[in-house]
Amino acid sequence: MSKFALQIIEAVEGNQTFEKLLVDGVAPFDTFKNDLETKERRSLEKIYFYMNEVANNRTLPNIKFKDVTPKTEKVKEYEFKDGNLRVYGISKYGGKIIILGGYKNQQKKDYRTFRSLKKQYLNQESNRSNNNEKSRTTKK
Amino acid sequence: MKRAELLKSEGYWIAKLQTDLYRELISYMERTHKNSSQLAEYLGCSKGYISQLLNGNFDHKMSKLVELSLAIGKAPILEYKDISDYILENDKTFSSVLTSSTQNSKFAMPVSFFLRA
Repeated sequence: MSKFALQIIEAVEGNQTFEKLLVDGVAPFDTFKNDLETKERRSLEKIYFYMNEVANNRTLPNIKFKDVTPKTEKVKEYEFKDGNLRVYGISKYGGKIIILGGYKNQQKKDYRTFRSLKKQYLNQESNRSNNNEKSRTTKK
Repeated sequence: MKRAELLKSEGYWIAKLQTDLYRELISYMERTHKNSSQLAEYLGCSKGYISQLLNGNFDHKMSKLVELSLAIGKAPILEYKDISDYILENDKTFSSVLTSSTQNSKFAMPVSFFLRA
């Protein structure tokens, strides 16, 4: 089973904290960035700008940042978009967690991976919370 | 990507200028109670062009930017700063925000924080 952790995205600063998900020590968002074609670099820089605006609670065109949460989901899901690039994240109290990035033509596959990682991560956090609760009760 | 690297990138500044114009147009539409079709008519542009602007995708001539700005009653002031000074200033501003928010925060987050939007 994969181990999940979070790491602050240093380039984004504001009232909200932006973190990236690490899966077994590697961030899928970093893998996406590192494999990015040179011609897409500008779109990624623009997406960082949009993340920065969201971190500062500023409005953006809906096309650049939108809520893509399915009706049945409790934890909010978001998509950042510029040109052919898409970046997927979820909400947490006080900020956002960036899970992965991808290309427009791979959206279907990326959404499956995004939601699967989200589910696994939230399960891990839920189990951790339950274990902490149990150990606290035992100590009492 | 480091913060300084981002602030030195073309994409960051292009998106900033596009988003600033988008916000000015939205604010003008709210002030004058115009919808996007009425805005297109007022500015003498096509609806498609307006939708491009409202999607934050303005990437046209500087003369068009000036024309649009003045038409919505705004002076398009563009200021030039030394990038190193700007990065330094940005760093200081964020450090002070961070210090004050750290002083105000009391405890670590409970797991239920994920359920809040």
